[in-house]
Parts: sequence; C-alpha cells; structure tokens
Amino acid sequence: MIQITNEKIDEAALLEFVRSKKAGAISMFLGTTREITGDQVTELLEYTAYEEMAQKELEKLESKARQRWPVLECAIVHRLGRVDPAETSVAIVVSTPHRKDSFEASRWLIDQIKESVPIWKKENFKSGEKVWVHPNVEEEGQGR
Amino acid sequence: MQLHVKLFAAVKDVIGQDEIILELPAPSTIENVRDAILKGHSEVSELLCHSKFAVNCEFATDLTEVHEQDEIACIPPVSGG
Repeated sequence: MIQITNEKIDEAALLEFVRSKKAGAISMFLGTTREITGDQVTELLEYTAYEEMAQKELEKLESKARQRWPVLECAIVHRLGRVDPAETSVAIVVSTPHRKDSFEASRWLIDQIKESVPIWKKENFKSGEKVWVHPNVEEEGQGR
Repeated sequence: MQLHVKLFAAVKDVIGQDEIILELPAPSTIENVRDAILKGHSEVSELLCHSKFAVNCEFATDLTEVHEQDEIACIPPVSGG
C-alpha cells in the first residue's frame, strides 16, 4: 500500500494494516524531523513531490521488495508539506514470516526511497534561513 | 516544437516558475533540453548538472528522445525520506 499524504501519519493504523497471522515479524521504519544537525537548529521541514511520479516510483519499490523478500504486507506512506521536529515524514511497515526479511526489506526500502523517489525537503532553520536539500550539490546551487 | 518542462525544488525557486517552455527542433533529446535550460538560466548550472530528467514519469537519459506531447520534468537530487 502506497500513500502520499498531506495529513499526519497514523503509525498505529499502519501497524494494524500489515499485521497478519502468517507473519512472525513486523518491522516499522519511521523517518522523523530532527531538530539539531551539527550547529544548525531546524524549525521544521517542508516536503514537496512530483506526486504522480513519486507514487509510481514507490509502487515499483514495493513490487521489487515483494520479489526479493517474502513480504506479506507492506505500507509505505510519505507525508508532504510541513513536518515539525519529532513528527513522522515517512513510514515503512513490513510484515514477513521471519524477522531477518522484515529488517532487510524495510531497510532496503528506505535506502531506495532516499535515492530515487522525486520528493524533496526544504530545511527551515530557526535562524530564518530556508534551504532545499539537494545531496551532492555545492551550497551555492541550493537556492539559498 | 514546444516543450513544457516541469520544475521542482531549488530549480523552481531559483528560476521562479514551476514550468518553463522551450522551443526546440524535432527530434530533440534530453541533452538538448538540458542545454536549452542552461542557455537561458545559467544561475542553475550547478543544480542542473546534478539533475536527472523524467519523461512521462519515467527516468530518462540524455539520449532519450522527447516529443511535443511528452510530460518532461527536471528532477534535481532528491531528498525524500
């Protein structure tokens, strides 16, 4: 199940969605907004997406994960818009018969999401500065 | 032919639009699209050289051909999750 939403993520509901009598394990990964990075203080993160393509890319990732591991149920939810410190921006929940596969699948999914899905975050620092996060681009290119 | 290119994130902010329209001969490739954007907007050259493009919601290469009705998007380095 793939969802891109502007609403707060209901982690408990996602746990129940993947729960299965056939599962011996459920792994949940939550990406949350971190307040402190080095000496920078984050006020909030803002997420945007190329939504149609992000949906397709997330569906492809779920499909690949299901081919690689015996996934029983899978939920991937990414939030857009404002995400405050400690709140969840992305949830990946996977149920499998054995725990090794649930750890591996959920880790693989978040790593892939960070590589290939057209979603971007903008750091809003307490200083007032706002910066798009674009890995590997020199600071001058980041839209400061 | 007229090509519409969707812009996102810092590229959209720096150029100041969520879409740009390019006039390019047919056939053209993504490489031509990238060059055309660079020509008109040197302020995004650093971002652009790290950006991918998508055609009809599929990642493209520089060799991918583009046509007038294609949905083209400039995808700067992603930062979801």
